[in-house]
Amino acid sequence: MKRTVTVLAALLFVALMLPVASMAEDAYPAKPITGVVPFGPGGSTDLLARTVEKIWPKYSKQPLVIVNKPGGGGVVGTEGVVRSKPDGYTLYFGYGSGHDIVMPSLQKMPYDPQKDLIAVARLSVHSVAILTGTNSPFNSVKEMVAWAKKENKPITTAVAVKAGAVDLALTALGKKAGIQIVTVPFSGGAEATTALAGGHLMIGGGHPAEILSHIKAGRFKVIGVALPQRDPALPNVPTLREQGIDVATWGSVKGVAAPAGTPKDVVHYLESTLKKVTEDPDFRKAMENMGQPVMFMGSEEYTKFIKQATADYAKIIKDLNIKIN
Amino acid sequence: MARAERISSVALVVFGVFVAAYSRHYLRLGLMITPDAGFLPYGIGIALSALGAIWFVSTFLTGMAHEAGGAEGGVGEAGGEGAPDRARRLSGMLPGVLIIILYAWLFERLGYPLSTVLFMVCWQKIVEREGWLKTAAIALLSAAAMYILFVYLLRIYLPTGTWFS
Amino acid sequence: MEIFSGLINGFSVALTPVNVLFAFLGAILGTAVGVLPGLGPAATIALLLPATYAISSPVTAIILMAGIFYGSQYGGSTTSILLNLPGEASSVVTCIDGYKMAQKGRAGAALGIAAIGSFAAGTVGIVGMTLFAPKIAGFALSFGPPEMFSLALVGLLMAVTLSGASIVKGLIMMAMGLLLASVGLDPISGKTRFSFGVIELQSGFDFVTLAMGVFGLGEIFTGLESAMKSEAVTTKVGQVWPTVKDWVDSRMAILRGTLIGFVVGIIPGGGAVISSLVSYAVEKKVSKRPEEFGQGAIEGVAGPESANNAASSSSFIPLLTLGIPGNASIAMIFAALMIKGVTPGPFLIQEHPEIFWGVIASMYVGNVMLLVLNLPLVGLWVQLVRIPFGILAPVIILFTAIGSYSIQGQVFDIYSLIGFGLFGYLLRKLKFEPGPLVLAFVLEPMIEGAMRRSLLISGGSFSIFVTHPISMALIGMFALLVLGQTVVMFRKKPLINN
Repeated sequence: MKRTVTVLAALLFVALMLPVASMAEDAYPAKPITGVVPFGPGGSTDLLARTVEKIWPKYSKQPLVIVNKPGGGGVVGTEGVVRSKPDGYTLYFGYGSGHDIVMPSLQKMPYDPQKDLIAVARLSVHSVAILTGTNSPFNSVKEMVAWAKKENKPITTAVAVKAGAVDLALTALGKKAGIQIVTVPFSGGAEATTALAGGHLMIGGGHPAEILSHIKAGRFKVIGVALPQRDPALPNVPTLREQGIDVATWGSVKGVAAPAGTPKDVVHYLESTLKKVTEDPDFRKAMENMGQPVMFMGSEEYTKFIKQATADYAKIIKDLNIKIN
Repeated sequence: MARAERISSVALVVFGVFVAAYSRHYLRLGLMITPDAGFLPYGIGIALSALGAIWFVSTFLTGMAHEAGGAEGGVGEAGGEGAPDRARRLSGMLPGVLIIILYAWLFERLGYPLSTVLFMVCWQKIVEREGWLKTAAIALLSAAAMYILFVYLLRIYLPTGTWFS
Repeated sequence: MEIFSGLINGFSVALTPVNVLFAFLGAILGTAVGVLPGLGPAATIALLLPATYAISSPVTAIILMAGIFYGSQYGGSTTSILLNLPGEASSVVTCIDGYKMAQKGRAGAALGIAAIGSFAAGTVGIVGMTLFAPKIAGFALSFGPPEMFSLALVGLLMAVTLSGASIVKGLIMMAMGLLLASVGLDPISGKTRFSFGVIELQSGFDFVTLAMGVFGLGEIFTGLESAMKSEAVTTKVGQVWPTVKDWVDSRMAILRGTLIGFVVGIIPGGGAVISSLVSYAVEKKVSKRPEEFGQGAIEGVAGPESANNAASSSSFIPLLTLGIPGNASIAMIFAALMIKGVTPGPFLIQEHPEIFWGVIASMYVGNVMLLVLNLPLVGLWVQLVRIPFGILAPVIILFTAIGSYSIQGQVFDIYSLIGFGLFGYLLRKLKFEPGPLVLAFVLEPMIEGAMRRSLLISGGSFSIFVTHPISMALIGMFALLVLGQTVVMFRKKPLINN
């Protein structure tokens, strides 16, 4: 307990000295690195970024400081990073989210998510899990489809946001299976799962990280995952393809990006440091607790991955004829 | 005062019509089963117009009565409507508003510390017409105190100035 | 008995020197954040999150953050009463009578009764939480979209129709508030509304910017045009402490506010805000002298301030027992627990009893600290109104400007702030009460979102609002109130201005 006080006192001291100390000229990184999360605090991207923030100092001489810049579904904060100096001191945490790989197919963007940003590394993939209350009449997506066809009733579905990864996956599911799925958008994952927990809707979709506590509490059963393979965070849940429905999406991908023009050696430094962070046992343990699988990917590979994921979403949106505005 | 109320109420009716039209044409009302983005704003637009109309009519009905009714306003109401020199009152407010707009404009360009000192100097000199010594003291002290509070204690990010980098 | 031993266990955690220290730190920070306009508890907890990594014990970290959260409810009333500047949505109602009291030289009484009411309500709320937390947790889940819609709408309409002088002007303000809140991204359709191509408008306006502008800057602009420039905002300081009569007048209001706050606070969403609205409306309804409301009635401060504190205690219930974060601040605490490897939810009490009971016990400790901290401060705060307008006004402007800027780090919000300030000035000239405007703004996402979600669920039928029992009860209650009000109104009150 005494240690805690000492640590806090030291921390306060360092915090006060920080702006003065960082003046010294040195090789990169010579000052603290800012990681921008373009979403509000407490969400799954924020949790991931803050876990990295916590482990980062073990492998780098300068700290990583996470700031939240929410707004415009992620566009506002990301645009800030795009427009910042490409010196490696401003990074974007959450690269691969809905506004990077889904939104460009739906509306005009103020920047190009692929050309204006350099993919540094992928950290995790947040799959779309389909869930229902423990006392609902079906135990799998297959049974749900059969039930909906027999009863001829629409399935009301709680989703976090309109035209997000979860909304698209479930709309695609309804179309492919030939049943009516009414997606009800809430303002965020927590609100959607709360409404589902109260039994106000029949099914819901969410990322494992958002629903873990409810699954632990036995409030939900997970009836399917919309990924090409099973999700390491939910190894016992079959994918939609396994259940005979040809729908697979990448959900929401979470990586790190830097503004275009950032020097190669800086990107390389960041990539290798992030790799070390993702291999750290403390990091892996924290991620497991939060229900976020660690799925690292290097800069080059991740660039290709983003391109492919964007194209896949564009195809789903075209096939389903989804439009906004 | 009744005249100002009448002008405002008519403006409100027009504004409500605009809101309703915008909601209908650009946002779409949607169906009852899936109300679209314009559904609520359209209703608000109509409500605003209707309320504006009632307000307009009421200025004739209660005319004199509410002149005395609402004397309880903000602090500024102390002067009351008895002093009719509108120009003098505007000359009190306008510089203040302009200084704040200037502050916003310089905020990111000059950076927080400099623009804040400048703002305090302008305020004390132009709005309060203080002497230079008092102005300098107030400006430097308050800017420094706020810098310590926000940047050091609360760790809020504030701009350092794009004109210098 | 189980509760008793749990609580004893909790106190053994909460009373260790480190935890007492952090509860104290949280209380001080919370009070400061509550007093400073423009800085909310959620933003402060977010800023402090990295510092909590260094604290090895999760319970200590949560004690610190919880302290900031309920501490800010104490401090939130201070600027509302003294400067007509609500730092948070739940103290908007406090402005109505609190600021009037300050203008009449009764700032001390208002601040004193707010502190005492906050303490009483906070403590009763924690006792209720200790006894019933696991049993009433399910109540939070019973509020789905139709119930949320009825609750938010009825709460708002009650405040608008029962509080102001003119119902038509109150309704205009309410409609304007709803409209301002609809600017930006519509979460349900994904469309952008009223942004006219301006990128900054796509994320809409923030509560802080609107409230600071309409209340704070509006007041200053009005003050600027008057001749008495260098005078203090309020010249009279008057008696610092509440009198025996004040105490007698407000003790029942505190009790009722506590009950309302405790129940409404459990509901995720706008618990604290709605509870303060409902409490104000109830106080006016039961009062023998309703005409004093809006002119500085002490019950109008005591009730809502007690309600929002009781609500801040009970809003921990869904987090600790269901794993549901009910508001932004609680969501940050949720995040901190998750990072520490603790999953809040029904198993918390079995898996980590030291956290569950430790946090509850620390709230008893924290509340006593807050009272001890705040009562002497009342005397100090009252002196604040003696600061000359020439210094106070620019300092308030700087605070509100930085508060607005820090939300998203964009200068555009400072321009919005100035715009809202001019709008607030206009409202004062036309004798509008800005309270309903700001409250409608806060509740709009809940009202509109819940309405459209309900219609999606019901397949387009409005009957969903009356077939759900809780929703029907709320609407029925309001209908009765309006009916009663109409009868009274036709007997003695003109439609516009009294």
